[in-house]
Amino acid sequence: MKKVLVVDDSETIRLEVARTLGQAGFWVLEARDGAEGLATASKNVDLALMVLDVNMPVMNGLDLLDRLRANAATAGIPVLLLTTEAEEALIERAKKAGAKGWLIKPVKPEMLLMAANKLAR
Amino acid sequence: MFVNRADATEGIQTMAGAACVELMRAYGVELSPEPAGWAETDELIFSGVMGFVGEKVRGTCLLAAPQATVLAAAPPNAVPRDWVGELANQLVGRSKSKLMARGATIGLSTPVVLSGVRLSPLPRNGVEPVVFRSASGRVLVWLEVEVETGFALGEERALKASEGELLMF
Repeated sequence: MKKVLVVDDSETIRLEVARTLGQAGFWVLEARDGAEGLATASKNVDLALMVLDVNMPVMNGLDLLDRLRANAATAGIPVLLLTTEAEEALIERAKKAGAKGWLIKPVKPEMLLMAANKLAR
Repeated sequence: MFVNRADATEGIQTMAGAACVELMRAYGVELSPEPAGWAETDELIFSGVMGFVGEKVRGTCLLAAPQATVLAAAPPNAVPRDWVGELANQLVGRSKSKLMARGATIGLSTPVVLSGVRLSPLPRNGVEPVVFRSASGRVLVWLEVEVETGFALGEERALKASEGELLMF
């Protein structure tokens, strides 16, 4: 079963991502902020995909992405950003940092599932 | 130097109001203007508050609605405290896109949430918040804004990405 980690400070968003991907057969882990996401990813280096919010307390999603890429153990985990942000500079930063996709909220479950199926390793 | 201008506040608040209508519609709640404005009641109100700051504009956005309206726009089993924070987050994100299309970029904080009864906005520059009605209650969108001296919104331009869109790299 492919493992996905969703990192978002909104419990409701985490539950919705877990519901959508769980129903499709993914095993979904959750983290509330970037720091917790980094710790969880470090203990689950076999993750098939990470779904990250951008604006979060403690550590934001783009800083988390940089930290994942800086660690050989987590550098290869595919990352999809799931965010309200549509700013080109942020999108470019994520692209340069090796993210695989950027999905802007609100998102239809089928769009999220399509992205996860396409990006998960 | 940042100044408080009623015309800029009104313009940006109107953008945020339009963003709120689009956002709530995306979650299945139709809003229409409430000409009677906001009213203090004993109904429990949930409110999400977010700050934003950029080179030309900065301020705070507050979204408020009764619990029934927050939950009407929420996925099943959502907790009102959490969901109103996320709605405020998505509202400011959507408003940010509208500002970017007019040449002004802002950075966003993360939301704080409060609840209470008999809540009333107290705007400082005479610009009344935007109030909508829905089938389940009123929705308030209130912005306090400061802008750089000489600030003006530019002509609207298309952005590379919009709500609901997936970009693959």
